[in-house]
Amino acid sequence: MPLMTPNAYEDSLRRMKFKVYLMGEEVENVVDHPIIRPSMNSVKMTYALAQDPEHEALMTATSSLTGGTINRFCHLHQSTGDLVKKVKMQRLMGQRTAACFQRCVGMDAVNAVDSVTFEMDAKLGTDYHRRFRNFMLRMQEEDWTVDGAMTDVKGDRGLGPSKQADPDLFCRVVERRKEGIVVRGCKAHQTGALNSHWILVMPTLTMTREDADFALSFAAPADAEGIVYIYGRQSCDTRKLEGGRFDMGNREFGGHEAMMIFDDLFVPWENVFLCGEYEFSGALVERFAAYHRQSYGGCKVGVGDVLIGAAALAADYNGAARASHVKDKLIEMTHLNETLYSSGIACSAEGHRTASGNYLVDLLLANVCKQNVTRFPYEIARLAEDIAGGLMVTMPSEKDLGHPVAGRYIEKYLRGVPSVPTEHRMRILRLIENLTLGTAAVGYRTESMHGAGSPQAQRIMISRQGNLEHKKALAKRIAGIPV
Amino acid sequence: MSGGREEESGSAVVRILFCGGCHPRIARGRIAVELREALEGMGCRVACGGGDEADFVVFLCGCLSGCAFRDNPGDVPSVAVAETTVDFREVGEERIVPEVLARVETFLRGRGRRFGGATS
Repeated sequence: MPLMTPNAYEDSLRRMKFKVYLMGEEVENVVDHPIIRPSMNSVKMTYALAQDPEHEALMTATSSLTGGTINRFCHLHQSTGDLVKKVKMQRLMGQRTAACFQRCVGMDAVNAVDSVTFEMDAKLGTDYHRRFRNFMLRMQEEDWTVDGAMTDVKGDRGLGPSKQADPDLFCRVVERRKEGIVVRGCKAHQTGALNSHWILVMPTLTMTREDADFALSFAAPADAEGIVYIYGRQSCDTRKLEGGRFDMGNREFGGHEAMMIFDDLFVPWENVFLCGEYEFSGALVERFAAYHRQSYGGCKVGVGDVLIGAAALAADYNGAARASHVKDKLIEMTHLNETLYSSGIACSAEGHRTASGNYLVDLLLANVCKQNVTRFPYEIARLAEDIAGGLMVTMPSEKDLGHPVAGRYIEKYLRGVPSVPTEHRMRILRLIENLTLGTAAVGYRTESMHGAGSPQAQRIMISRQGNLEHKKALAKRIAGIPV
Repeated sequence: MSGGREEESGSAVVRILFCGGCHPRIARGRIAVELREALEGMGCRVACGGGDEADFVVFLCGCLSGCAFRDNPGDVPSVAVAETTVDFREVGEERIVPEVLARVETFLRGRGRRFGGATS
């Protein structure tokens, strides 16, 4: 089953036994829960487009392990061309879902773990890369969605893992057995966790010798005994419970995050890829972060394409499309969006091969990409709200539009240009609302800020990678100062 | 890139091919000088820059993008230096020269040659 069909994917999730809490209740049926389902639809689209000849060039790849055709989300990148196609695929997915489609984090995790385990084995004589490649084979053959899990809850940010009042605030090994390890802790912000077949856990930061028990990477079935999820709320999420047609802005697609709690989870050694080798934790964090910062140069751009289109339609429907300042704002939005894309492509084109054979992005450019992502979507959103007008947040509900009395008033007074139905105008404003301050704003705004690392994390990497001494030498040469 | 004139001259030609040098993170010039001296001491002839004559190529790239070997695919035996990696493995800048020389030695042995350019 190298390529799972969309329906087979949905069915596979139905067979899983997640332990999930949402709004104070345990969820029995994750797939059909109205708050969760749109996020499943987004991941399902990664399977649907892989079956579409129109998109297979981006959505599929040739496995370096088997030679077979696989979903690109399961691929170990084999060239800079693969890295570029990854970004283009993500842009496509963002365009088609206008949401976080969640599957990138696993793709980024496997590519990071692949090269780091190879290098670890070469230096330490460990057996992690063989185990990991076995996992990769199964992932590709079964077309799994894998949730890469990195961010620990971290407790007191001023203290390291081993210095916390509660040692479980960073994921750790609490017991080593002959057959495997027992893990305790909690990963926060786990994107797409409940739409995943497996999880791939990584350390949250560079560990030191005293934090060796926290230097940990492993894979586990996402519904394994010992994993508990608590679903994250999103702004306006209960609109999905209203059963309406368009007040949620994006009825079909969404994203989700959840707390992922390891309540003494047992992991067999065969699925352990790092356990105590703290000196390799930094490389794993750095490479995963770099891949994921590259990802944002694709996915956010695709969502941005939808938002720019929505703003342009709002201008059309308001009769303001010919105003020069509106045209200029759309140009600015496009400029910002394509700048994000440029750095996503650039860090891919400048990528390089690792010792294990897969390809890694250029670290400096990937961090520049993500640093821009912490800023530009906010400005794009601001301009979209500017063009949309205040009605985006003051207009009545779709139920009022359907009311025999109130609806007549709304139909009459909220119409813009005569040729466009009032409902269409309301739909596009709800979409902009969804992207800028509704459920999708989780992915488009705050995730742009903090996902794949908060802004300061990129600035540290930019400082490390900036090669300032080379720049000083250049200036000295021009200024006539001996180098 | 074609093979060199080892048969005619009796010494292997090692060509050092640089990347463009837009963003170097290692001292490519110094490394090239050290390589040239060591390789000539091993009896090799050293050529720098573009050209067809080469029995072995040292790609010397200032950053991990590796433009020299990416832009010059060929079937001549080679070693790829990119930033502080040699053949995609991190070695640190101070180990680049000995790592490259070790690969040239291996190549020469594989060709049935001893150091000093004489045939075995």
